[in-house]
Amino acid sequence: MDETNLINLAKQGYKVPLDTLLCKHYDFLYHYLLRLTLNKSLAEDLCQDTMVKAIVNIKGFNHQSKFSTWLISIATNLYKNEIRKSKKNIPMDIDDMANLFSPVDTFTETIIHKDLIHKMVLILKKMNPKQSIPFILKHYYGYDLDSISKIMACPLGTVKSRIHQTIKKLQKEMEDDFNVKM
Amino acid sequence: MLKCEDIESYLLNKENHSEEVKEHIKTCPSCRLYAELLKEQPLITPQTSHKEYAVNQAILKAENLSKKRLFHQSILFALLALVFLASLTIMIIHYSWFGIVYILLIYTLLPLVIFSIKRKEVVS
Repeated sequence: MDETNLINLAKQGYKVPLDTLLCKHYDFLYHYLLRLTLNKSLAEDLCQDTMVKAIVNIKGFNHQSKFSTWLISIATNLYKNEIRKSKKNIPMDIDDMANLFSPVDTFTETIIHKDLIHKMVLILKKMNPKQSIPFILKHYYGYDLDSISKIMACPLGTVKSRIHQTIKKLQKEMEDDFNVKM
Repeated sequence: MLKCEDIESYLLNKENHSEEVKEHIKTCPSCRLYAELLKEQPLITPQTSHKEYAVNQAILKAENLSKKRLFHQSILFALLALVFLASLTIMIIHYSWFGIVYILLIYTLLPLVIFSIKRKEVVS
């Protein structure tokens, strides 16, 4: 059964299609939140909150975007709220950050590569989520700028400038630390 | 003769129960309660994967949240109706036609405003 039918059945209140739909997107959602938070327990909590919000508001889903994009926008808003509430840095409990961010097919397991990714993740973590999230969505998940502006609920120009600023900052910090000319 | 301990494994593992199991559930109050509980909640066994467990928990949480929300909404609606009726009665007693029109106007516009706000509300 295709996703549209599953969503329509879930909207009518059937539990099994809803279960199937959420199970299908669970890994994607969990890994997205893990990349944002770098904290397993927080990622699990936010993942569950996202699913609860999605279930409660599924009747409002209007098929204008993909279901996964809708889930990501809910998760992003919940993550921003969480940061606002906690008012301090969320502790990291991921050891192998390089693996979390490396695309499986192009990943070359070299120490330098791992170090670069590790450094990049740490820089992203230090940044304001408003700057780091658009960068992750564009360069890791391959979302287009229009979708990112919908997910982040901000204008297209703002998204462009935030991505540009993030790249500049990453380049600067990488050059300082590794003497790598970007 | 079936014991209560055996019934649990029957309930967890088999969809179609034998007549003996059905009879036991009918007669034993605790097994009947357990069977009803399993009917209400999705079956979560130790074999269920972490993903399925998390999804089931989210569905349960959402159901509870919807029930709570419905309860709060009905209380709010009842209170609004009470205030509406009370104020209308007071205005009628005092023959204040301006007051009656004013109250009717407010209570006609209020649901429209709430409805338009809810439509604009972005899922966040």
